Amino acid sequence: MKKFEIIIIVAILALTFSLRTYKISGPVADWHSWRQADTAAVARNFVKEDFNILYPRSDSLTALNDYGLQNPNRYFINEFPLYNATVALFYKAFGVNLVLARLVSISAATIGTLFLYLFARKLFGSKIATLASIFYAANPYNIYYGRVIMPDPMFISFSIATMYFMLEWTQSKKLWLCLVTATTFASALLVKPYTVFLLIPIFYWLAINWQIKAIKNIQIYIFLICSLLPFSLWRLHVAAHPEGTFATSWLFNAGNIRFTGSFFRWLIFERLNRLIFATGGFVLFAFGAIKSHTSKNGSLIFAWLFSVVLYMTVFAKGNVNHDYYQLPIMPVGAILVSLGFFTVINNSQKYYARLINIIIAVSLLVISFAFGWFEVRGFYNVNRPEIVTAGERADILLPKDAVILAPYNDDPSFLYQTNRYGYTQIDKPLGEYFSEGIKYVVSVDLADPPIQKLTADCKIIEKTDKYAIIEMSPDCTQ
Amino acid sequence: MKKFEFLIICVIVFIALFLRLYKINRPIADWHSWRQADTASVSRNFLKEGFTPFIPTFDDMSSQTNGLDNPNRYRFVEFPVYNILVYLAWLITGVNTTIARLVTVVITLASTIFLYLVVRKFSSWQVSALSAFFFATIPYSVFYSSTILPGPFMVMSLLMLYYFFIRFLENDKNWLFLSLSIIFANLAILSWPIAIFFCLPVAYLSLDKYRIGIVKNIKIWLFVALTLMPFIMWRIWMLRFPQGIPDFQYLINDGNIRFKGAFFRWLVAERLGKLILTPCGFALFIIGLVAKSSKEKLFYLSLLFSCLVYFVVFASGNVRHDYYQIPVIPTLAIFMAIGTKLLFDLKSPIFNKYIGPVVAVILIIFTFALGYFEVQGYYWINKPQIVEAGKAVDRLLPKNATVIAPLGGDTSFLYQTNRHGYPVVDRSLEKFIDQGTKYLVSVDLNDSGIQNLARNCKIIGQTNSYVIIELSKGCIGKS
Repeated sequence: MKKFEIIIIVAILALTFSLRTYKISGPVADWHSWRQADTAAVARNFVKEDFNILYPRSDSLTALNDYGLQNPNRYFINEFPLYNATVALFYKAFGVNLVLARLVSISAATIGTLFLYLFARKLFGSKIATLASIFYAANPYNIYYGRVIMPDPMFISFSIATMYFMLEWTQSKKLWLCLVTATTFASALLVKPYTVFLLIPIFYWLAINWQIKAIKNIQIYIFLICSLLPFSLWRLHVAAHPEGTFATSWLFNAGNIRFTGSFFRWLIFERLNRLIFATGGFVLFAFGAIKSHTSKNGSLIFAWLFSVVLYMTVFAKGNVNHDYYQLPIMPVGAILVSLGFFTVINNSQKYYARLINIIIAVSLLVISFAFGWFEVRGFYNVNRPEIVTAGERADILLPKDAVILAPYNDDPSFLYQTNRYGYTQIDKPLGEYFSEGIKYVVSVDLADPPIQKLTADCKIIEKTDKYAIIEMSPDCTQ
Repeated sequence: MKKFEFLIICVIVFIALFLRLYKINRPIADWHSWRQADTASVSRNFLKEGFTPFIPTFDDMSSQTNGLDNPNRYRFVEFPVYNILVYLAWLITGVNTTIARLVTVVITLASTIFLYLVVRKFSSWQVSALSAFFFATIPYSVFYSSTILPGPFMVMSLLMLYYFFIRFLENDKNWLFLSLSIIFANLAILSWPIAIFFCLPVAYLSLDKYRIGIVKNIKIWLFVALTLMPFIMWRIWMLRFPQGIPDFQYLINDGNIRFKGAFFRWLVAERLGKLILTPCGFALFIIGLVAKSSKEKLFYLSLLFSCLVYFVVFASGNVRHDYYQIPVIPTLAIFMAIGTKLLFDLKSPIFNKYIGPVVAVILIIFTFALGYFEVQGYYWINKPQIVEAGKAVDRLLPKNATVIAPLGGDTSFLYQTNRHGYPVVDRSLEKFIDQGTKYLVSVDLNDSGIQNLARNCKIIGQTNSYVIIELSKGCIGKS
């Protein structure tokens, strides 16, 4: 690797890192803060309680599982808490600070960019790799989800690393590379089970490179065992604690949405076209997809894209409901955008036509960044800052061991601000909560009639026009 | 033309016709009904008040278009070529919205045929057929092909101009094709002056053939002079009726929107990328755009350049009104066709050779599906009560009565009443009465002012949807 190339890579990594520091100190009250709050709570509880990675706990006592089971231990046994544990290590060293949690995600995203460069360079050369990693670094949707307190940035980076090491392993057939690939793949799988779809491009590449001899190669089996065993053990552990899981059955096809008009409209139009690739990038992405299958190396990207499309189809409702579910398209999408960009430019060798094509390709790229930012900028907004204020006041005013009610439509981001355990919604008579030893309510919904009754009848610890901190008693909860 | 090409055109035209018959009998209360009502009322007034093509009138007496009172209802925008066609049809059938829509349908069928013929002069039959097919079937194009607007007529005239001008250039001794070119250039510009922008491809074709010799070419100068003269005369004639000339400055660069983020976002993301082409059609369009160049493609690029110049000059008009993009549909269809053809020709040593065509078909299907999703609401009659109220007014009020039919300046309500009057309350009610307008019809029954009038004035007709009130000076001041 030449010196110039190293400078380019360092610059791209610096770009990746620095763009993701925008509003790094913002509270967990931005877009998709509910998922961030759960994740951040697990990391914080590793520090506040015991650091037992097998038994991650959130703050919420409100059960989320499919089975109607209570969750008194606040277990949050879903993904393996590798991200949360990493954050907790920093918390142990420097104290609980959301900036640290975001920095872990940002670092993961930055490492992911590096592996994306290496992967694309190996297949298509440094020019396409450079643009792919710049697009990956600067795509507004990817920037936002590269700094969230969620396991996803780590999952994506492990996925990209897996693809890169898989290329090296396939080429060299060295056992240590097989083990490295298996390790990164296993890590990705533990962090997010959706990684399993990555087996499609992996086996596609093994099949076209090693051909039929692949099934006789012991390394294939070592790879499978090493990568799938930890995940299988973790799933057995998860199955033993169903109360700590969140509902997942709806993610597949709730409302029979798969293949309906709205399924296509949401995923193709709203997400891929509007939010992620933002019109201009979508065209380049489509170009890249069409171009990719025409070469052997490109066909791996095509197979990778196919695996992501299959994932979106299987987890149809999850993908329609949550925009962060489309994060797996980012690495493959960035490469396809880059491929598309150079396909457009190289489509004509004539001077004037090439000039026009360059203008078109650059315009599409600029449009993608501009329109993408237009869509994503609102994600950073803290729409209800009162949950942060109320949470901070509750943390100061209430006993450290108090369990509280912080109703916020089942969203734990309000509860997280209070730094207490408790419930995220009120779904039974208040007297029952009181008899369980819960006597504090923090609310930002002062227009809600039950809250108004509480503020009228119970002891007010603090009340402003935005929030109320209430101490319940047997008399006032009748 | 070969037999099978004729057959293909017939099939495409049949599909085009079939699609355009969707909700063809909807009243003028659909999307952009205000502009349709203005256009239809000119034709209706030719029928009601006499055929005066040089002094077209519509139903709106208000000052909303330019701040000047317009008691004679002058309507001086485009020369009423399209309105005359509707008028001619109505001479046979009587006033009928469906017939007016069918006039536009027939016009766009002619456009489909001439788009094929124009593209066939430069490209293969496949690209020509695909261009005509996209023009015939893109949901946005289908909707505006059954609206009562002059835009589709201008597009047809332009396509005919291109075709006949190309034929003229093939044999420039032929006066027939030059004459036809001049006629259709006139029809295009007179029916919607923005057609001037779309004469740029004609300039390109002329320059390509004659090069520097164009300056000495008398026929070209004749074409230019005879194309511009009627339009200039019309514009001069219009100046005698300033109250009938709407403001158009706001269409140019209102709010300094040109080249701002919103300008690009509206035109690229909202219109091309969402409404007209959808993301998938937009991808096909760009594929066509960057497809390997040939000399023929320069004509298509000149078309595209016309569109861009038009977008930039009429920046706020294009941002504000989606029907302003009607003239660019043929260009978009041509590049989509080139893109589709390119995908069909894509060869792959790795994957199945059908992948290119499969991707193309998927993109086309999604273009239609997502496009229809956007456009389906355009057919909706969101306020059916204006139609009901309009019919009641027509039944209950004297034929020569003028009415106030307020709908925020939207003339579609006034049009339903079959009366002249005011689509907006732009002066005091007392002044309306003084000027001879004493009837008010409203569908806004929750409005306190209307409720007040309904309480104190004489009610001519009332249902849950509307009220028709006879105003008098005694009742309008009461509370």
